[in-house]
Amino acid sequence: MGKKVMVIDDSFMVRQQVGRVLKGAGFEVIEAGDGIEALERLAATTGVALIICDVNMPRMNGIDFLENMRKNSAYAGLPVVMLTTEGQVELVQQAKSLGAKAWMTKPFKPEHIIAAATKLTATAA
Amino acid sequence: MSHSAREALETLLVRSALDTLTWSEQSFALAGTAAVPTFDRAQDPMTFIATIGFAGEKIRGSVVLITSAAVICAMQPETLRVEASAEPAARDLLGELSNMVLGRLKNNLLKHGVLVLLATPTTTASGRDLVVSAGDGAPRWHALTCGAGTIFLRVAAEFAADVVLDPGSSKAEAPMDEGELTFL
Repeated sequence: MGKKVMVIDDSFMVRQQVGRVLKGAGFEVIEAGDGIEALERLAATTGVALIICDVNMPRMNGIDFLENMRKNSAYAGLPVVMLTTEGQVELVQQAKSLGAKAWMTKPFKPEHIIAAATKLTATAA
Repeated sequence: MSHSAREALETLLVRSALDTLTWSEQSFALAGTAAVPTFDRAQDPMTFIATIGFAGEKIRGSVVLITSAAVICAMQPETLRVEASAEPAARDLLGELSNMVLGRLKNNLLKHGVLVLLATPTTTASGRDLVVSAGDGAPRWHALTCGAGTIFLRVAAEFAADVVLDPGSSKAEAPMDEGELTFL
């Protein structure tokens, strides 16, 4: 079984597209439709090696998810990639300060998804 | 309202949409403007509509996109194409496209010293043409065409009296480039 990646996006089709790319590269994929669902799924799942997360989502956005997730020490070192239409530097700095490891702006390139997932899960269990 | 700011915003919107649509691997081009978006209902019995709002200190408004299921199916890159003939999937994809267009418009506005925040898109489907004319002072519909059909889009906005979309503004920012990966 490949390393487990959680894809968080309010668009089902984006989750399908990103998931297809990741599965094609040997990763296992789990999905969540917003930050709240992601926190719930994270608590119910073991072995997540990477999170790919949108920013603008209903209920809980990606930055708030990151902030909430980091409050749990169990996820202190869990790598996160932001995948979003946003390019505002202030948001990038916010995400970086909360431990995000990469920023990808949509529309995404499949090779970028694979490059980020491969690099950031290289040291994960 | 500033006429030049409106013209600049419309130009940035069309450029943002065309640049975003290069992702689709379809060749989209600006075919002109229309007072009312119309479709051949024999060919496209259902059309899909996405609306997304934006707001900042000096400008606020919304962008609307309308297109057919055939265009929505065609606008996915071949390697990422997922089934989109069902209504929920078509609405989801068009919503995401509107999100990407607005994200790019936001980045273009940042380069002109104007910051806006984006709402999440809402979508719907309709079997009838919208009776929305581009009358006195009303926004125009821009028609972007490819082999599969047309996407109509328009922006409606209100501006502060002193707003200027100036690439030389001291408040201009250089946002992250679209379609790029940056390790932090």
